[in-house]
Amino acid sequence: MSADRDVNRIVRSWLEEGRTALPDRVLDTVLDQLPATPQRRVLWPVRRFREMTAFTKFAVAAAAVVAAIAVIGAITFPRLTGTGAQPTPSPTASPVPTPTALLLPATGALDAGTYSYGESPARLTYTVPNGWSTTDGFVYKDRGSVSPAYAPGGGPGDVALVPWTVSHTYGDACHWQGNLVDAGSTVDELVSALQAQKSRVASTPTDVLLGGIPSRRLVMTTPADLDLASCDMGVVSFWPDPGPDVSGGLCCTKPGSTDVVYVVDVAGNRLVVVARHQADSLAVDLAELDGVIASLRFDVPAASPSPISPSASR
Amino acid sequence: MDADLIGRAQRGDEEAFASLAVAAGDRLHAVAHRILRDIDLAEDATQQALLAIWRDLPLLRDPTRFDAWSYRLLVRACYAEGRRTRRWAANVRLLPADEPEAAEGLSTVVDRDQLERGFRRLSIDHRAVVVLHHYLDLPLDEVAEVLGVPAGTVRSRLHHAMRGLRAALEADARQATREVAQ
Repeated sequence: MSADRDVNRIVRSWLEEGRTALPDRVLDTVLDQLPATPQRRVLWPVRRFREMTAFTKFAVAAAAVVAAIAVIGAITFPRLTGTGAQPTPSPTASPVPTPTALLLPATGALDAGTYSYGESPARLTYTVPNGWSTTDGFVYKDRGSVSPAYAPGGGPGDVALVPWTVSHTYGDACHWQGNLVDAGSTVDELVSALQAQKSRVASTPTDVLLGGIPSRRLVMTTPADLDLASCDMGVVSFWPDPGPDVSGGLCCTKPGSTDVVYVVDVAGNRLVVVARHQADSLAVDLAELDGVIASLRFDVPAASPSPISPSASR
Repeated sequence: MDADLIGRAQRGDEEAFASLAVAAGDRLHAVAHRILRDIDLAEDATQQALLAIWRDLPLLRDPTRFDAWSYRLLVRACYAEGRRTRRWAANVRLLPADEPEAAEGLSTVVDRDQLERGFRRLSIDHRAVVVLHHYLDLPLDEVAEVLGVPAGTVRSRLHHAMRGLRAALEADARQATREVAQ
């Protein structure tokens, strides 16, 4: 032990040696580059997801027990419906945009209508049908299975849409703690970082229009056989809130879920829109999600190029 | 660090940022120099870190965390310098002549030579933990926060790094013993 203390003392003493002053020319170079170095801005409100509290852990455990009972029940008792049967999608009324968009409320059930979210140049509007809700910037339709373990739209059967500002991703969606990756500032840099993310399967990106603006579309699937219990804090997490001080972020979805990620540059601001669905989402809900995406528009500043034409599909 | 200054710099005030950079530049450079053990690389890393601080400053939610947050960006810049250049000389260059000849508790030039060799054999990950803990005196949980890794990882890296440095010093002691015996 005393030998350890000696080594510590020697190392500390040795570290005290050496230069500390930063030469003026380095500082001058930095200051000269400021005008050409745009600052990254949080264009949408930051969302903070709860930590896995004791209650949450209990709820996750309880949900696992319920799921196990359901599986046993499904094996034991005759099915009432055919395996894998999907309800026939009923015709979905196209959302009718209203002349004035309502400000998206912080949380609660939504009336059908057009809502706006965020501030220019990242202000966007979209139209949701009846039966959708919102919280923390998500608009989503849940199937009554919301669990503390899942983010909005992340639970069984759910669909959701959420815009995001992303500055960093996690190198591994399952083992995400201490695994932060700087996603640069361009659309392509973020797309590359997402493609490289482990524990998720990413499609080849395609070029589409979102709200009439060229964007890169990437389909990211969380494998159905991923064991969440093996993941950090028992959840998958895809990126933190903007900034390198890790917190919150987009996380907590069910294995087998799919995020269709649109990365778009609006007037020099890199924005992300995520359309999320589950393997067991109903066709009628998927059609509604498509309708929300098709209705999406960006509030592009007047000096920027106008959007081209509609639109994108999920 | 002055919260008002940080707030103004977050809103794009270049003069406010210049004041921040002057105040933080020396300490960031000191840390970079100790991690990278090379003046040129340390200057490059500090320059990159300061630009990253400017770029990401609006994303910093809690200005009271500015110091720890800036160290995080600095260590990232050190990683980048380490990856970008392969100038890790196999031969040891002692610290420049304008450094103190000997610090208290560091008995010989040979000790410094051995420490330099031992330290350069460590990865940037391990060096960063040693410098943040033993030079900046940050507690290990704060080092973990700065580096964005679990506290257990920090403890493990520190243990590994100090074992390597101890081995370097012991090798020196064995050499000295052999020389006396001869």
